Amino acid sequence: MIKTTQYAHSIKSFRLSVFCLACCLILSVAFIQPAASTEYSNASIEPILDTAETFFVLLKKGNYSASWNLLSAKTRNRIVVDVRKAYKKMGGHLNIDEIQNDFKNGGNISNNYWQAFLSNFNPDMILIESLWEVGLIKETHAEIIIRYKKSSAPAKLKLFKENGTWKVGLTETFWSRKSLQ
Amino acid sequence: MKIFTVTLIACAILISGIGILSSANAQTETIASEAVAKEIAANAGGSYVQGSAAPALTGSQTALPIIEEATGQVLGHIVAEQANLVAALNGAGFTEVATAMAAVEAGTVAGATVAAGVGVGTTTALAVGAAVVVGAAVSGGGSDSTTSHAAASHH
Repeated sequence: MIKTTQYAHSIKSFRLSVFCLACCLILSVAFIQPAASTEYSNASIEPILDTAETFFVLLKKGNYSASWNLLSAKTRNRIVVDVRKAYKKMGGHLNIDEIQNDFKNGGNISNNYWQAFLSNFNPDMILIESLWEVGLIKETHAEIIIRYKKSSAPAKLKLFKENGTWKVGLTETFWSRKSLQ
Repeated sequence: MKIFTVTLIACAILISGIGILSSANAQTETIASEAVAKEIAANAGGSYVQGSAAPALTGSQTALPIIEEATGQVLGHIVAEQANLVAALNGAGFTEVATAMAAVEAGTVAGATVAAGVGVGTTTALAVGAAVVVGAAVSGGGSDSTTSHAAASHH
């Protein structure tokens, strides 16, 4: 009788121990995981936000060659193609390399392009009149959710990591259905 | 006969349906007189419209302001079809003005696209917004373009 009772007590203790161990494991995972992801976000988010902000600030200040360097390769290529197409539509011909170098060095094409751009888009819409939220963050691409004060839907500004540095994907964000006719 | 220097401001141009764009840092090319501007207009199959008022435009016409360098006053506009004007400018050696026109057109559409994207968001309505922007960019003039152009300033 005593032996049975002792055996029953042992089983009960064992089950209790297993239960406590399981609880400890669950709690430790619950506390550790968020800390790990927070640490990843904090380390990654600054350069992403900095790149996006700096691009629009440089554009606003008229430093077009510097802002050009903060654009993704795909965006730069697309802008060059757009200018070439516009000139072709006018009956002219421009060399791709010529256009690229002009944008890189802040030349005649670059100045006229960005001045026309800024005549139709005020960077303050993004810099001052919008709320920024961190969206998706991955190893090589990220999104900043930009909520303009007068808009009911956000814009998701895409950035891409190229050669170790973050670049703004202007055309990847906004050009999805746009094309020059 | 008074001889004066007039200036083609590279990016101070009018594109039908979009508006006047100007910049203090514009690349400028200089011509000797209005007569040269008239010659360019003739070569482009267009016309030279005297006066500072922005001319009404139709189809794919472009109006290029001619500005007196000393005073900054707009003397007139070369009005011609875009492609013809570009060819005439290139033929006369004003290649930077011609390429600037293309850059301005591309930049205008790009800026409007970004503004639309920020304004309506990129998650659902971008296709509609972009279509509206492109449609506006290539629409013919002769609508309210004169009124909208006159309101802007350029030099």
